Amino acid sequence: MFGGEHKQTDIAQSAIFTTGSMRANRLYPAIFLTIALMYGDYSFDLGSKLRIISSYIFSPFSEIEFFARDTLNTFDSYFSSQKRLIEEIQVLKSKIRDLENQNLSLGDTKNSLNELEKLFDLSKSFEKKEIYLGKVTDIKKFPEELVSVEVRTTDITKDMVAFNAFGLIGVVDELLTNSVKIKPLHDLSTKIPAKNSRTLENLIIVGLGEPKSFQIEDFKKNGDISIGDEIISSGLGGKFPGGFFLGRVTRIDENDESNFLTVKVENSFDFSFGSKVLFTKP
Amino acid sequence: MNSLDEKKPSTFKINFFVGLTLVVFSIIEIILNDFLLSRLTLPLTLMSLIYWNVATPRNIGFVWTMFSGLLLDIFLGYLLGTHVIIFLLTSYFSQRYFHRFRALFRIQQSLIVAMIIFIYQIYFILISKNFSLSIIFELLALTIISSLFWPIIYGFLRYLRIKLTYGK
Repeated sequence: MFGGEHKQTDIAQSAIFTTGSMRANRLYPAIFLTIALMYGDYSFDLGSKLRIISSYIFSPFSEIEFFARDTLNTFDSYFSSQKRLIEEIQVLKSKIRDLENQNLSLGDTKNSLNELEKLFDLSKSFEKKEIYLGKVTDIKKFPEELVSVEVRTTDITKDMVAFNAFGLIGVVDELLTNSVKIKPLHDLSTKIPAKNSRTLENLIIVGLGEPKSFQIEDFKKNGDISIGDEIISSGLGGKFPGGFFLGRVTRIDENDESNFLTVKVENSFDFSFGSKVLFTKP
Repeated sequence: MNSLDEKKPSTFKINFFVGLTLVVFSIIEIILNDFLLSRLTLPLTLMSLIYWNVATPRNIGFVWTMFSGLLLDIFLGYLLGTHVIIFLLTSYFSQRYFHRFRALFRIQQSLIVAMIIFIYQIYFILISKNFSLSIIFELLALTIISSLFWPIIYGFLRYLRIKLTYGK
């Protein structure tokens, strides 16, 4: 266990009186040179000169710190300016998004205003009739077309008709609490008293169940009708108001086995157009 | 036959590594002098010098001793030769008594090194004529720290010497 220590002690004992080969006379020249150096520095300021020379020699090394600091600053400023640019781009993108939304909103408002303007123009023709406005909340497309309209009145009745910016579009189908369901004029169950604005002949037009399509019911072969004739509501029967454009004759078919012509009337009204609906009694 | 004897390192190689470590330790000491708030420094160069003088006394002359001392004098702002002279004396005594030093235990070596450093620091206190109670504390603290550093420096330089000169 103590073998190592004994060995060390033995070596120490044998080395205790041993000295190296170094003799003092080898040191004297170095000491002399050093004293001469000290004298030179003391008398001629040799140290300052040496320091100036060494500062020139080692200036690249001493400038490493500044160089590193400059490099770091450059990197930092590069990345921070890049970061600032990215942030600026993000802000601008966000602004663009907001502006686009605003634009859309303004577009909607414009459309809505146009629609209201048209409805307002339309309402002028109702004179002293009571009119009610509703907001479209849901639209069901073909084949079972229905428009749900939110209303804030309980005065709407089932015998009322509905208008949008195009004109007469439908009739009240169902009354619910704070809402009304409208079915289109072109519904198969709708029959509208009408007249040919050219000949002033009274007609009945029925919906074909397809958007914007009607047919004149029981129009005799010897009747006066031609393609392009304008069909307007006659107001007879009191269910629909008179004088409203319903469509134009687009097709006339003759059948040898029948005494009646098949006359097709079409309009350009979009039943599901707009966001506002106007109700009135005929 | 010892394998180390088969491939003896060249004097140039040893001298190169001695010079390199002394210069590196000098630079570290200069840098530490800027960072340490004390007026005294951690004498890493001196400890390195003691190691090389004890480890390879025949190969190491006074050239590197003087050079490293001069380096410290220039960059620490002392009168030229201040470090050189004490380094020369340390080298001389280390080379003269390296047999006895080598035979000591590491802790004993540390104590001897602490004594040398103590004298070294007092030498600089006398030169700077900076006598105060705080510098006595600094002196004691740095002497203790330096003696604790000795085994590390010894181990590190020994490893380097073996690794770099013998390639083992």
